[in-house]
Amino acid sequence: MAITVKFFASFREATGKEQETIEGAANVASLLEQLTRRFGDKLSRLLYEPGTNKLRDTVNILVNGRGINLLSGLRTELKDGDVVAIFPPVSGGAALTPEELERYNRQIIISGFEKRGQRKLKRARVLVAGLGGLGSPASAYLVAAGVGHLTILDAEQVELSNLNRQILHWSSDVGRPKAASAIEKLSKMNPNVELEGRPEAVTRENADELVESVDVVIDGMDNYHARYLLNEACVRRQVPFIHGAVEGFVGQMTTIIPGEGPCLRCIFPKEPPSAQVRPVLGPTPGVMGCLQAMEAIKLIVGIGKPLVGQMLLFDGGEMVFDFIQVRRDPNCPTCGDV
Amino acid sequence: MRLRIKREDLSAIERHSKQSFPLECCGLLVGRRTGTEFEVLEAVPAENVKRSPTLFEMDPQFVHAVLSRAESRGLTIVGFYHSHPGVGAYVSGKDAEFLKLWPGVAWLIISATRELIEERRAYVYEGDEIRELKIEVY
Repeated sequence: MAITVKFFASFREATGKEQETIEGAANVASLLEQLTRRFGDKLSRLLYEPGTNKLRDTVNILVNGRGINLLSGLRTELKDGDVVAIFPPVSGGAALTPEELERYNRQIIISGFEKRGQRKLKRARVLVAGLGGLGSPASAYLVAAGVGHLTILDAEQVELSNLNRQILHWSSDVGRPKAASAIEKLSKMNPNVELEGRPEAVTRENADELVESVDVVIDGMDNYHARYLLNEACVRRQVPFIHGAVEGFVGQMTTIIPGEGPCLRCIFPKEPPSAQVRPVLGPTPGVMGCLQAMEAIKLIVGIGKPLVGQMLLFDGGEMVFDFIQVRRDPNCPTCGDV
Repeated sequence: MRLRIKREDLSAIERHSKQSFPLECCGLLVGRRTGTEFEVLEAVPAENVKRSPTLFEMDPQFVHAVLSRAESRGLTIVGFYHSHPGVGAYVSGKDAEFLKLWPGVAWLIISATRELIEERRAYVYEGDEIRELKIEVY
């Protein structure tokens, strides 16, 4: 007598056998050891997490029809005549819930957007850098639209003079970190979105890590030093970067897709002069932040035409939207070799 | 490639999908595979242990019992079915992950609401790609 091992599905494919007979295995762990010696790496890779003896979640092992998770795991004892079955779980599932279908119905019924677009949004990861006048509306609209994962980054605390335009922060938030204040509002707005708050500034050290796992970055920052750092990281990692900036009644915006159009350094080779305090009327970043969210959603869903190679100039005082062409600089130190 | 299924079996699966709404339902398709044809001889409903609108999972002991019974009759599990509550019968990322672990086994996906069968489609992972199967009801 011996132990009979039955393989199914991917395990049958990896071993090339429907069943195998093993002798002298005292428990499941030693049985698997003998099997991996016999069938090699292809079977090991299916069974174990890389570089460990930990079984993957995608393995079911049954002894005489009972799962080893209900017995003693890998230490489950074996005796002659036992039958061990190895097969993957049968699992899966849709990506959208009926609640989400209703919540997002008015955008799902847009021709070309549809459920497919909503699924793409749900899978997407976006970074909003800066939670001020631009980042507040941009993150609010992204959360309302159902982006799957949003990282929001800001190192500062809420000040009373922020409240005329930074609409995610309210009177009671003065003194609180902006990331915490924003997460509180955004999570109530749409609990389906995974939110990650990072109370830190953009630095040379963290820029690449910030952009490497996201699909789009939104520029809600108030200084060109940090903008250049993120622009460079986005070019290196080939991540779209949606630039926005405001002052008084005027705002500017462009979408940077590395390799397709100019990067921020092509457009502004030298850092524009900075000021401690800039005048801003709240609706100006309100308009621009909404348009940045619009660009991000379009890119993720693959609908419409992104604002690449053009800069939108908005003047709320005269109520004029203007566009100027912006071109790649072949000698750009940031994207010249992309 | 095609999935052949009796009208009464498909009706039972579709009833299961509607009754489970807004949760996903699941089950097994017992039958035989001949060349490019997946012939369903019996649809076996299973419990969705996840009880979720976006996930399903079968009890492995139940899967094993159905598998053993099928093989003892000279048949096999020719496929699985599950419902997507009103979101389309497409292969989600999660579905694709498990489809690949069951090469050569058909996945029938039913998009259903409580009142309506919106869509039914079938897929198989074979030759390193996910292919769509034609569904033939007889």
